Amino acid sequence: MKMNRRQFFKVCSAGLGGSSIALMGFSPNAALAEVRTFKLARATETRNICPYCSVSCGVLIYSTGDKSKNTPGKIIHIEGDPDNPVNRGTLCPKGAGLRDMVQSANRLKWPEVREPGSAEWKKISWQEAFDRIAKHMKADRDANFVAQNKDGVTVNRWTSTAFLASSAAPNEAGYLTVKTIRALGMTSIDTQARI
Amino acid sequence: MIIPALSFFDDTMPSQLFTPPSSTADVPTIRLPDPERIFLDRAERFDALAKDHSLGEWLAFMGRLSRAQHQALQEMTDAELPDAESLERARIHRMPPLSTASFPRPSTWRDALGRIIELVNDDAPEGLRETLSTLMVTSSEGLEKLADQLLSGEPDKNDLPRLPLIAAALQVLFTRLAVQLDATRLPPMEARSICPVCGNLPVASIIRADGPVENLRYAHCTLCNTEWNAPRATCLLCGDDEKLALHEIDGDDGIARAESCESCNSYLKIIYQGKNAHVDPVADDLASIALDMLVDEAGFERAGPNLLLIGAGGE
Repeated sequence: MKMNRRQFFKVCSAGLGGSSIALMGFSPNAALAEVRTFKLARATETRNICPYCSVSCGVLIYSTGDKSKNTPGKIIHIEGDPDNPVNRGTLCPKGAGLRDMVQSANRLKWPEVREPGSAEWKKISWQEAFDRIAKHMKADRDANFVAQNKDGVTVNRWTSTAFLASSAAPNEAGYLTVKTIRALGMTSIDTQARI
Repeated sequence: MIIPALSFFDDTMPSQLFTPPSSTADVPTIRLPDPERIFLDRAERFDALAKDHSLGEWLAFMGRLSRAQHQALQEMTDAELPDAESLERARIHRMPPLSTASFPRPSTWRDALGRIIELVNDDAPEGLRETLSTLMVTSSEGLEKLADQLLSGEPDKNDLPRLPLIAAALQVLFTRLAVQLDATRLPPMEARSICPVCGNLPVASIIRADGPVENLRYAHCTLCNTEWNAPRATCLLCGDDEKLALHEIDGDDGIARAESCESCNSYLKIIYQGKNAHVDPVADDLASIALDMLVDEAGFERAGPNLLLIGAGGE
């Protein structure tokens, strides 16, 4: 009787007894007993880009947890991605410590503010943070916006506030950052990727 | 349900820290087998794996079989390759030049089979002696038919005990053929599941720690021992990179893991050379068949055969 290709590749506990192992004269019984005491551990391997600098090294992130079963995911390991032509699997000391950054107890997870004269950092909501930033920006822009230079040429610039953009931004976010910031007239713009 | 963490990770700093990246040009896309070492290294790995293993006697015999393959390979003369024009045509059309489906197989593999049988006969278990003596007197036509059926992936169940030996001899021939090729003139295959030399499926993939760039993945041909680069965290069979998972036996040494894909419902093992410099895709695949059994129970189908183990799929 012919095997089909699926049977040909398959290795299962029900098949071992009739396999070439047994038919060549070796007993699979100990292996079959042993496998019943084993259980599977599961992880996923995910590609990503290191958020620290403009080199943008590729990383492979290993995590446990199964999204479909509501088990909370946990990152267990991060290493350089050997397939990435930028870093070919290598990482700098900051990149090599990425997992500790992700899981750091000191990691900032919400906006905080230290009021003038206060020594305390206070947790605020994202909405409060956006409002405060917008108010500060508007006040400073209204006070310092230069519509025309001393020769009367229209320049529309705002030189008293600078913007530091994220290094973990893709091209699209970079485009939007420049469009938004330049529209306000801000001249000083830089990115954490350069640091 | 609490899913245990993989034991593999000790979370010390990666060993490749501060190694300057090599240029892409230095990275071999295809690694042809080393005829002096391939079967010898495999035999030594089988010997090591056989110790304290629940299938130790079988693995030890596979080690002797690999040593016999080494001997047969050393004695085998170079086979005639297709002419330069055919090789170039295969390259241009991205077809494996020595596809087992179309390349006329040289008869020297039958000499290799005879030599292998002679070498393993003395140490073979009682149950195998009869199979070996039957093979010795099987006609050339009979052997070619067995080889054709094996390579088509649809052999007859009655031939089961004979097939790993037929496979062993064919591995010797196709390894001999593969090493005669120029790796830089082989076709870049679009499908990552097909050997660029003989067109067969991979037995497993291996994360290599001994190349110019560490930890690249290579798929290892089940027949000719050629290895070809394949991106990590990507299904070898269907190319999906979103529904993959790695499975290993909880608490083991982490050398063998199964990469499963929910898109095509397949799995194939990955062998990690970084965990042990002496690993061999064929030997470590056989030593980890407990992992196959568990991943099979989880509902995934194996994507490529190990030709030294036939008929473990049940009814």
